[in-house]
Amino acid sequence: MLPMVSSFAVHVMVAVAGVAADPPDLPAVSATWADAPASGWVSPRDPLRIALNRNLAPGEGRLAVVIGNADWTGICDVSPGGVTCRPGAVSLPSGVRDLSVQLVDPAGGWRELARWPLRVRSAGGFERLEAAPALEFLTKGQHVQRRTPAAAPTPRDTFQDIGGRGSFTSTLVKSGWTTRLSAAVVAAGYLNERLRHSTLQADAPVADLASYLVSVESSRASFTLGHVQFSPHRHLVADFGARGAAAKIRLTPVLDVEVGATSATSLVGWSVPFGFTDASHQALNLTVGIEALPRRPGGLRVAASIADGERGPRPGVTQGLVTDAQRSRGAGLRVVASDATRRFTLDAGLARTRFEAPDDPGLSQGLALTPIATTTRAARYVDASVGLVHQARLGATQTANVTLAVHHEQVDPLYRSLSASSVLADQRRDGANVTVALGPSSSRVAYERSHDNLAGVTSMLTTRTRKLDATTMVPLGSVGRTESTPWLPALSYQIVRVHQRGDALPVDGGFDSLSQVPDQLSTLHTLGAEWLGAHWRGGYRFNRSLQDNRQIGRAAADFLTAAHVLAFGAMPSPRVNLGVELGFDAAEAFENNQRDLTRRAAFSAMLQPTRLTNLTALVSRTRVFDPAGARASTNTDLSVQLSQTLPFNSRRPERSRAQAFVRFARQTLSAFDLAVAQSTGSQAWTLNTGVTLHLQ
Amino acid sequence: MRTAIPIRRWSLAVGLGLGFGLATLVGPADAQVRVNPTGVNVNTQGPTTVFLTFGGVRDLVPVEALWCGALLPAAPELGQRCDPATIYGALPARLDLSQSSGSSGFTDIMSIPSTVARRAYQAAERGENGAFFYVRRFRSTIGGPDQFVAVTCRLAGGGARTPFGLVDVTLRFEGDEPVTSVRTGDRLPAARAELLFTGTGRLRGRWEIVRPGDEPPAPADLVPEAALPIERRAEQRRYTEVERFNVFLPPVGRFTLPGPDPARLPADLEGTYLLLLRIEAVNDKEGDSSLAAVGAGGGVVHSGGVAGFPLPVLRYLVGAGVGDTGDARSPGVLGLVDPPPAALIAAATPLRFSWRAIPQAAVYRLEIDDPASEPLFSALTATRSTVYEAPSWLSEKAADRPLRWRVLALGPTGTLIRRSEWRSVRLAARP
Repeated sequence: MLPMVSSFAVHVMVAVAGVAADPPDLPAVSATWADAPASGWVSPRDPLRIALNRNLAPGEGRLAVVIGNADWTGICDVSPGGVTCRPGAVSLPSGVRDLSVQLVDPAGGWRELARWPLRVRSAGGFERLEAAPALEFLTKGQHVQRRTPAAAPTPRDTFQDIGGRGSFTSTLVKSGWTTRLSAAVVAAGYLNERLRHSTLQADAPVADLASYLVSVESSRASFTLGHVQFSPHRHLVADFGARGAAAKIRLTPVLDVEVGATSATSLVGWSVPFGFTDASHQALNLTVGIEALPRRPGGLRVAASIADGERGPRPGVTQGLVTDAQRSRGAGLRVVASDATRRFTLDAGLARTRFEAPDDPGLSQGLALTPIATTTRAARYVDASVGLVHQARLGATQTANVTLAVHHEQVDPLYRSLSASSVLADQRRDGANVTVALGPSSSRVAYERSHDNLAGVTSMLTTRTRKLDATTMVPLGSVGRTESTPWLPALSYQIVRVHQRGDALPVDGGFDSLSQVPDQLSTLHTLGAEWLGAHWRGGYRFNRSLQDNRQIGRAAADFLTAAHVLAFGAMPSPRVNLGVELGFDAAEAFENNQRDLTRRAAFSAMLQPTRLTNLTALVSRTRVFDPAGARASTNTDLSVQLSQTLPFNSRRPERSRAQAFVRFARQTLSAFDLAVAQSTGSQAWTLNTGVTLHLQ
Repeated sequence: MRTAIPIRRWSLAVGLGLGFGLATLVGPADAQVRVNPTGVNVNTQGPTTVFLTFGGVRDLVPVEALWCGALLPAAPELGQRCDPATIYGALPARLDLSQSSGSSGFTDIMSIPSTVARRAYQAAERGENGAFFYVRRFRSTIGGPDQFVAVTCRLAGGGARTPFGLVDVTLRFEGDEPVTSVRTGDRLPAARAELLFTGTGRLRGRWEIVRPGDEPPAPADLVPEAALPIERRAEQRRYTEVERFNVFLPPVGRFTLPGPDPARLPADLEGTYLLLLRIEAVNDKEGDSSLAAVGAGGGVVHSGGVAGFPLPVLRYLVGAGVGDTGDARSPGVLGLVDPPPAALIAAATPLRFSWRAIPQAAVYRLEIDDPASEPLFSALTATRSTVYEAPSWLSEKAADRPLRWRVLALGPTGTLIRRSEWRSVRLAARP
């Protein structure tokens, strides 16, 4: 930020040494703020008109306008005699900043012609005040459905549904505090479309709360109500998001606190508005962090976290899960450190949790279940990296980096934290990787070894895994250049090799054959090429995997799959968008000599004949078949949709408007399978229409 | 729908007492109902899902299904039933996707909750037999004896040799809102599916879109294809296909499947859309069910990619919404062109930034931050221009320091509609 100025000057001319001077036969150019307000203050939407004392001569250069540290020239009207800026999409920033006019000579040198303090009022005492309420009403229907072969009519062959949506969003900024409010409510007349139909069925309310957010934040603290996220510790609370409340406060430059109380899973609807009020489905967490080097955040940070939660047997709103009732509480410690250049980084953590299984009536069904012992188990990890080569010059335009990283992770058997549900228990992993970055190109080779059954339970299978993962990415169009060329593709290649092998036949575990002990080598190759032009893009992706089973009795049960995808898209104008995709897959099961081939072709076109009219067409055909003729299925989709927007105010079509659509869709399916002596064929087409009324 | 009948202690005791003498005469081999597979490796540290086919269920109706640590002869009924002292749990109705198949077949999806696996693991830790059992009871509708059919579950790590099944699927848009809103014509944020699974195999399927006006999917449409009897798989309703995927999942238990290209997700029509993850059945040796082995027909039913629950849907709203403020938490992505990532710009070279056009944008804002991530410089450009040449003095002001830059696309009211990722650049000092 440039320093704020305290005095107001209407006309100042500053000569800067070392840049082009005025032509000798012309007077020195100077600038005047033509409509500078007498009060010294302007409104955020007021225009700024700056006039020169004479027109710029050809070859003399162009004008530039800078407010604070932002170049506004691109959205101002610039002429040889001056410049006018009319705030539109972007308002003048509230507060006091410098306004300067610069003369940019043909060689690119900048010379300041004038500078003024620009004082901009805020709306209603706020530095920023925005509010956007909106209402939508819609009706949509299916007027025709034809099926071949004819089927018994259903109540939904034709229908007319109504629905709606209300939303409110607001942003207020004052004195360093930003307040955001937003909410969206969705209404659906048809039961199956209601927001919580999958969980409440017939009890799902017609109008339901889709989302809301209330947040107040400054540079030192934030308080949020709504959908909040936490990720302070990999094994305790990681990538966890749900409805609830969160507060983050930086008490001092050294000490900060984060606390959250949420539902145990993400949710929608009115029933639990604050998320955390249902004690049987709740997650609480608290993290206290110490920034030991406050001038360099992340240089050395130590954070202690605790988490407590209970989850009923229900998944989140965007989750499918084999559910049961669980309860866990635990604590964790995390240390993050790096040197000033981030050449050396360290991230390490310890966690310990206590797990219980509350009664789950759906699982017990009145039976006396074997009790689950409450367990307290631990997990730990260390990730460390060091830059072997750090920001080394590579020719005139590129840099080079080589980084070595190692990691260790151990998660005890039966370890569980509800807020870190993706942690896999009973695993020990050790690995290392080397990353080489040469300009825009990078390559990485990683090796990891892991095993399970850490407690050595003799009746359980012990599995050891070795994983090699090598990746390289080379954007050929950018290598050695400061501007890329679209004709050379960005290439990527990855090989993943996983060897997983059981130790031996467990004792008294129901294992009676060595074929039940895995010995499998999986190899996956992935190749990609992508071309990216200003108005077109093309791509090719290929992957090939071989699942090689080696244990006794399964040596022949191998699978080989290869998949090719070719895609091309073009946007010759902003109103035309075309796409083509071709796919070729082959899957082979060697043991039973079975081969499946998949062929797919898809075409899409999106046209905008006028600014308010959209025409979309999609066609795709997918055929899966066995070359021996034992089975095949073919699916063909065709969809054409026309939509028209009718603004109530042609100058502001994004405000109140209506939108109507009509869509024709046809789907054809044919399939046969000799193994189950089944052959089917069907065709259906539908005609749908709808109207949306949008008020904003 | 089956009827759940709780096992009572007295009935088990009577059954045990009366039937003990007959146990040696009437064993599992005498039961007419057969199941395939008869034994599977399962994950001890989390859930496992397995597709089972029962054959010979004519004149029988399935009743309860229990997990237990030991079996007892079921005489005078047929087969072996659970030892009531070792019950780990009963298949909850919420996970029961069983249904009849063909004339004398019955398809069951055995979804083992993690607390059941935990009970089995703790028993094994105590030195008891490591295997546990899934026992389905079938009741005769013609007055015959009930039949109990058991599947052996062997304790393993859930990797290779365990049936390939999905046990936890979470769909997310970038920004992680349960319901995402975008303005008409905007690009959706990137989506992904976070998967926890057992076994290994090909994850093959497609992303589909339910558009405004389409009949929404029923629960049977949302389960993976492999959770249905083979003859019902073609009956699943299909929607507009956005993209297909066919990726290999190594036996490591966790995978993130990238969502479809956001440019392909329709947002031209106002209303509510559902993004569906459709998983097709694949060939997986460990999950194969032989119809011939159970007398329910011929051939093998492939069930790789099975799940014991309807797959979640990702809902998004097009029109007005939280995406209308300049502080949207999940705007779409804007593509940068030049300079390329990690470029080093020579001192004499003009510093020129360029990016891809966004049709809905009214203004672009280029932001350049210093090494401390503090704003150093910014520029506004009208949408007719997607190129900006920085002032020459910027090179002197920030020479030889790593900078980062990005571009925001703003709508007519200043709304943030797209935002690029940050990209690094370094300006060489003048010699």
